[in-house]
Amino acid sequence: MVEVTIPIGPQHPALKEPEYFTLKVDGETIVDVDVRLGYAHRGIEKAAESRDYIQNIYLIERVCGICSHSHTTAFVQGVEELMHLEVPKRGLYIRTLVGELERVHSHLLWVGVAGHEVGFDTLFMYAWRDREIVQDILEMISGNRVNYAMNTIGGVRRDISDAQISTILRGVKKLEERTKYYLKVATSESTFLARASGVGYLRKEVAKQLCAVGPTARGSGVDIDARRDDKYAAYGEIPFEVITTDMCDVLGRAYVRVMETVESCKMIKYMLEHLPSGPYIAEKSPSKVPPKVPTGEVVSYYEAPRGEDIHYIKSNGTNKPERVKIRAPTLANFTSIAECLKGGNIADVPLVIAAIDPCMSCTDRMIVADVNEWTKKVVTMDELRKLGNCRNSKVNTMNSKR
Amino acid sequence: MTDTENKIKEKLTEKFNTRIQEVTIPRVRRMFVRVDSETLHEVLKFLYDEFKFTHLSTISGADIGTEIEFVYHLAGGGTFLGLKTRVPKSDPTVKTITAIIPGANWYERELQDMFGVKIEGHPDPRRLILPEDWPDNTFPLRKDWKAESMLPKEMWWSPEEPAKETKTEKVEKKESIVQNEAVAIVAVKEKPEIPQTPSPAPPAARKTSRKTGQKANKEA
Repeated sequence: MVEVTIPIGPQHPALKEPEYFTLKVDGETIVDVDVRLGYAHRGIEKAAESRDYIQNIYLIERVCGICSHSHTTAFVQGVEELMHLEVPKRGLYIRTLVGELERVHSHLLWVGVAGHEVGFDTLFMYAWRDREIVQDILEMISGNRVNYAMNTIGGVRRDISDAQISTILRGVKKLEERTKYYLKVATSESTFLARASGVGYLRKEVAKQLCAVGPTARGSGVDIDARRDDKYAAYGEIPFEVITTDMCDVLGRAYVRVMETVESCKMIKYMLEHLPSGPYIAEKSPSKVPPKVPTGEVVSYYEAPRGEDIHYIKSNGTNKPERVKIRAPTLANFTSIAECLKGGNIADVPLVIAAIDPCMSCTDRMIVADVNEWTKKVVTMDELRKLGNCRNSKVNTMNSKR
Repeated sequence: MTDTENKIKEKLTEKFNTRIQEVTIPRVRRMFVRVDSETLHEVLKFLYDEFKFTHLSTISGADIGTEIEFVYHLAGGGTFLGLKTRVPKSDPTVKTITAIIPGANWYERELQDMFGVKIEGHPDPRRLILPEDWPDNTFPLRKDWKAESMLPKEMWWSPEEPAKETKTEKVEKKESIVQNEAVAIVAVKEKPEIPQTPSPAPPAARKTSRKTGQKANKEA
């Protein structure tokens, strides 16, 4: 066997953050995958140790551009627990509401990216157009499309007015209609089915062993969801279903995300109809002055759009934390990528990597290097995508073999 | 409220007695168990088999002075359990748990990078986060490591540096607020060199101005 190694990255199309993949291939089939990380490591955990708790909210908001609310919620609810600070119900509801709006926006973004990778660009344009509805809502509530800065220790920073509630309800109604269309695409559109089904197969046992989280795990039938298991914020009071499927492939992950969008819309409606009155921030909230937090340690879980997000905070009695450990969901899912890719096609790489929804930016080519002949060839992402779309028939035959 | 946690605590103390160093249950769905690094494997296996703690969220490390503390954040057994262990900084070695939970692979590599822990028997002990040219024996998340140490000395900068003599008083106030130890150390170290290098270059000029500023302050 002639062993060929293909480097992908650190700057690459399907990788929105720089990572470096080395694929060992036998012909078109991927034999082994190696991942190298750290190109975007910003030292946020170290930086958090030299900032006070209020400054840290703003720092941690910037861990991720898309799930910024997830990280601040996880951090803030940890600090609240350390300070024995009770958040008013309305504050918890608004916090949860923004979290669910964020989930809708993140999942719609993913549907668009998946559509693009599959070669179904109409879906991409539809999904991103509809995503503007939820972006507008978020902008109306917080003033920002991303990095909403809603959380503070002891509650949220802005209230929601009745006029805003009726606008959100109108927007969510529209979104629900549109999501029905995406559900139809994810379950019955023949081009999408042909390209996504059987690709990036991740068995349930393997997903469990590798500690996968979020839609990646739920798409493989692993029933975990911090919203139900830990009941943080207002999730103990809101009825919702945890979506799982046994499809175990990219199609499964797509199905989970679309169904979760439907669930999120229902939850948003429920929350707005049952929004408690009263204050939205605790009276003792140290919203401006950095608080001295009593010595202790706390673990805070949050179900971000991409999966379980965990913060471990250790305090030392001062106004700066002793240690803040953040584990974002993408890191937990990265080990599964290697497993998903093994045995697949080179052309599946962008789709499979995109399927765990890592946060990424794009450069548009990859280098195919033939180690034996020392030649290098640059393949643009469009070529690769075309190659992928031609391969539908081959992929399906591979599935039947599996 | 904390029935599950109490049950786990009971079973653990029954099986391991004094080898369980500490059990804390701060609230419902949270518990911490501390064991020594040799018992860790056994306890983890027991929790995995008996209570189905199959999901490892992450492994946190923390520099607690002479020791490094790890917390293995486990889930799946009806509660969220932090399994803790401590290793001395002089010999920070801990056995890999990848044989029980393969998902621990990357988290252990991360610890290796950030805390300089030796993970015994790790299947793939390469660097995960730090670049290849990162200096050996420097571990960013240890408390004795400062971000400034990665820069050459002439690039060190701090906001409290006085620019003009006339503004000395204001600057002094600022200095008391800034708590960056590393920068403070640099300032102290550089002082004795000042009289020996009366150079007209801008950095030196700043140093002298600062010195005169401090003198003026003393006289006042």
